Amino acid sequence: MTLRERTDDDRERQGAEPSGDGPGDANLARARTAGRGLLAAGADAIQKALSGNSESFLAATRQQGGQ
Amino acid sequence: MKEKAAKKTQKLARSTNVFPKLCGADIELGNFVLGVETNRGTGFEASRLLLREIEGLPRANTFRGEACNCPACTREREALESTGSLKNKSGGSKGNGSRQVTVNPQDWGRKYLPSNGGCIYIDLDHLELCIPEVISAWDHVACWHAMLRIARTAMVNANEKLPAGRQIQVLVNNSDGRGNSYGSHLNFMITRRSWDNIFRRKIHYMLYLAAFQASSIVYTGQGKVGSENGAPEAEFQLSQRADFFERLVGSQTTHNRPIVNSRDESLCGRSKPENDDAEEMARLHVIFFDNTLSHVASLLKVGVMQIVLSMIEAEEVNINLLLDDPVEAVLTWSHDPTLQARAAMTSGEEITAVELQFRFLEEAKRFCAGGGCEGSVPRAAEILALWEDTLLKLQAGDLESLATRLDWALKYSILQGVIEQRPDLSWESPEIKHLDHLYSSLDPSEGLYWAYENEGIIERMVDESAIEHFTANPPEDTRAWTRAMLLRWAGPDAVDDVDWDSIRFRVGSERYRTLFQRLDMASPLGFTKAIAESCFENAETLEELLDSLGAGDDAERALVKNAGTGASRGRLRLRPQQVN
Repeated sequence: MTLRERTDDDRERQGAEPSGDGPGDANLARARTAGRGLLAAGADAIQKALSGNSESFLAATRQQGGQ
Repeated sequence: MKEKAAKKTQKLARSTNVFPKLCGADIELGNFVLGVETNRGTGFEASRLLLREIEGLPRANTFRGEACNCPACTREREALESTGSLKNKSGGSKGNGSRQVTVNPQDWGRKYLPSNGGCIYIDLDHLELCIPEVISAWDHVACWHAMLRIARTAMVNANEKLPAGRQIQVLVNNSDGRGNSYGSHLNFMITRRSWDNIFRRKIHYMLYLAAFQASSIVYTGQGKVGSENGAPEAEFQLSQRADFFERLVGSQTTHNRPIVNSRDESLCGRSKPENDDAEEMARLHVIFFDNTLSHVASLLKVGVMQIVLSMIEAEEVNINLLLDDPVEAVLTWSHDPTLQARAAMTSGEEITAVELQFRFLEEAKRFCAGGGCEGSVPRAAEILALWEDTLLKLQAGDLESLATRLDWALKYSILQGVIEQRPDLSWESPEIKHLDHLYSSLDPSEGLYWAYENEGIIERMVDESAIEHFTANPPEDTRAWTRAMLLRWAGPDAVDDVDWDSIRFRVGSERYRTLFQRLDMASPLGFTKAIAESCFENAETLEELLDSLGAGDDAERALVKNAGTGASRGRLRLRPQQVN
């Protein structure tokens, strides 16, 4: 199953997410809901990154400290 | 009662001269070469390969190409050879010149752009984009994205010249995730009196600014996975830079970074030299903010700051909004993306960042309703409305709406979604940090932000045509217009040196000496298109143009200084180049 397909499936299940106890938990739940809705739009870019070599990429990111 | 009235009158008198809160920006990017393994990183090579693809006129005493044998340029050539980019070039890769240059690792190879009046250079191995001066926050957003497009074109061109398997990657972020941060600085023109109040006379003004900036991360943060620089652990935080602010105030920018930067480098003179009572102007160097890509975040970052600075300039500062420990507050608030964390105010009250922002908003609404932003902040009412609506969404925890406006909310939502979809991943997974970095990749095929922008999910503040416009044109309402037009007119043969507030021209020669003429452009609000366009239309030579732009006295002084007196001016007769 692709990331895009899972996203579409999950969209239908929106609303079933437990909202948690406090306002912080509620925000977290909203972030998850928002995330599911957004994944489809960025699926290709996300998939590309997830299928790459993250360890190698992170090793290359080293920068000199700047201002 | 009488005292109150007197105080108000005094305040009004002080705020008689109102100036637009003109804004510039100098913004470092993350840059490296994929496919080259080295323990020291490849920022040095990447930044230089990018810069050589940028068309611009250099400052004097900076790198001018491959024909230089100074140690720095030699090192550059050798490093670039290791990437394969200089091989097979005609004439070989070794320079044959003997020009000695002064090397400043924080200002390397600066080039001013005839296209839009901005400039690009290398600062400690980061490509640094400097946006031309603007007055409107909307113009800032358009110019910022235009500069990113210029950098992207350079990246594409540089990558085409690299051997297979190597790729320059450019990240529009502020941290490499390994404890190294690089800045996203804004520069605001304020009165000298205001600058002195903040840093020399009224400590509560500085604390007011610190409290505002600290709490603004709820809409100015790009978001970041993890923590750095010895900060407490965090899965995700609002700000890229929060972990790196260790002081309340200071002039330093590369270590012990301060929330409020006191570097006093005006790059502008007196704004109205013809008036006896003219205000002397200063530059507030703001190093606190993150790089933002979302239009709303970028607009609020500049627009709200303009309003707050107008309040400070008018001496409308509410001392009840000060934080007990702004440095601690930044860290506390940044490390809590649920926005529930509280920080102590000087009153002892504990407050969330959003609550504090609402208090600043109320102050700003009152101030603007009284006409406080007239003449200083374009479209202030629209900025206030957008600010309020965004704060209401933050208060409601409406991440779905906020993801269209704020970078941290979009990034957080995406990453939350991925982690939920992939139970094998967590906030500590390299794949999630990889996505964190790629959010801001300049490559449109890899950068997550661009994917969402292309899908129409990002709420836009400026349209494509405005961004495209500023890739090839300067703002018309600041000195950037004349800078760009002069660079086009004179061209590289006649431009000897460029800085924000002056340009020096080679106007001729006498025996073995070059004759120079300098145009000072001290006022960022001067030399606009409306003021200077007719000079360009009516002049036939550079000499005529400089004379009509008022280079007279200063030019004469430059001549005396640089070429001695009594010289017969064998000036070049220059024709306009590329003047629109």
